[in-house]
Amino acid sequence: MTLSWPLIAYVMLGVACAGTLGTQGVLALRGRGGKVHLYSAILALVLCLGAMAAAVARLGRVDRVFNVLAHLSSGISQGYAVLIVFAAAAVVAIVAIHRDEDNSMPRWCGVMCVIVALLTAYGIAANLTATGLHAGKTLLATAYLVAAALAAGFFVMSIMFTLCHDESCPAPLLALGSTIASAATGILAYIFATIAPTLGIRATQIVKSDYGMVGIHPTQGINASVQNDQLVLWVLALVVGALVPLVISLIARKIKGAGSAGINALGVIAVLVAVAATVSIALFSGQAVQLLSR
Amino acid sequence: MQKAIFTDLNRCVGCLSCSVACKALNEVQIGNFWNRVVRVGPNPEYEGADYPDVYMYFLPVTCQHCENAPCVAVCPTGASMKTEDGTVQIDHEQCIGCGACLDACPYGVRYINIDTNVAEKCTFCSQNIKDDGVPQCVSQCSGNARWVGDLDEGYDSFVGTYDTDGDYGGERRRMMDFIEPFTEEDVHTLPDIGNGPSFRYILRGHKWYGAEGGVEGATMAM
Repeated sequence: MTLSWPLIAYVMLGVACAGTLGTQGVLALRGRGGKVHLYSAILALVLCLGAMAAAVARLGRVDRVFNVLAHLSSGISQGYAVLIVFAAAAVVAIVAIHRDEDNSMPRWCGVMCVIVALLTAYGIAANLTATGLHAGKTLLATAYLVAAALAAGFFVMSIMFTLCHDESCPAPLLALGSTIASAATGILAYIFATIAPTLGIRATQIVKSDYGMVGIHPTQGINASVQNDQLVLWVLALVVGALVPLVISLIARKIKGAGSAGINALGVIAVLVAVAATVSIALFSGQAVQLLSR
Repeated sequence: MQKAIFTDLNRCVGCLSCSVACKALNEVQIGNFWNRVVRVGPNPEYEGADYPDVYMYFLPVTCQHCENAPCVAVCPTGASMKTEDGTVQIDHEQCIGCGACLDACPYGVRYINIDTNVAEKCTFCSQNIKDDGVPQCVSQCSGNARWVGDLDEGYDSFVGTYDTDGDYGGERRRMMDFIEPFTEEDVHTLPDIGNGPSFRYILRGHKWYGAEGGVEGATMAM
């Protein structure tokens, strides 16, 4: 069982940039955001460039990277193409924000950002749902990444509002959104973990090429490194599932005008959700362990 | 046209000649195989059976050159392609080494060459085929268990090793004239998950387990 760190980075940075721009779009449609929009759009572009770099690093032949767009019906190609579209949209957003009188994001730009963000999350998921025979071939994978993008987006925007000292920050909205998105991520991961094995398909997409559903894969029975990989999954689950919504709630408390009682309640909910997400990811990896031990 | 290989598992003795011949001809890297032989069993002859009512068979596994190859569909560059003769080939000049085809293949027959960083697998010995030859695993099969032909033309098109005894006029032996009779119930494929593996395996008189529980290598000394 080997972890593909470029693939992991690609997915994480990809959903982060998609979530950031998408959340910005939602806030723009609600007339919120102010000066945060410019910095957030720039951050979204930087995250996108990071995802592109990770996508290139994943290849065995980096010198042939442009060949990747030759076969757009392949989910792999779609995953690369959406990053190019995203980068262009982010540049358009930055220019539009810069030209705005209040340096805020226009509503039309907000619509564009939401659409591009959903498209990007779908494209990244297309890497996993590409025509293949492993666990990724399910809409659950797409839904899972969209939920993860939402969670990441709310998280990033909360940080940006805090860093920009912007008192117009819709703290309850961001905290609630993050909590719901994290809950969705955890629930989808649980469903994915419980349903996927019964369909005879393997779990965990961050691991390359380690399934043996037809019993003759060369890695069948090789589980010596599983313990280390489980640790990675646990750490990811703790960071994403547990800390993210909790940190958002704590950040929200520091923003002036935010209702403390409501934020405290959200904080409790966030921790409960995080525990659920952690347990589901544990089941996720546990199922993977069972299948690998077969 | 759909080129394919029949393997008569009642004849295969697990000598690994096919595996070695393939590796030698195609200069496959150490640690990788284009044709690996898996030992399946010993399995019970019937429910609850124990020794001596058990049996095993040797299963040569290679690229199945599937009719709906998932490796072709998932390839982002089109390097993996289905050719006119039905075989699946890789254009090494187009391959970017992303490894998606490794994930997509249900039989795990692909790998990334660590020197060239591109995907590799069985080529159906295209270099032999173009000269009217046969894959090396067929010509070197010591048990006359491997036969190559065109599924679209039927079983009569399948041929194997050269006749050196003069029984077939010096031509290649024909499968339907040489091997023991079989029925359609004796003909199997590796698990089909919509990919349509082309290769066929003949197993008479025993339950087909596919590759379930298969162990790499055919020697009992493992």
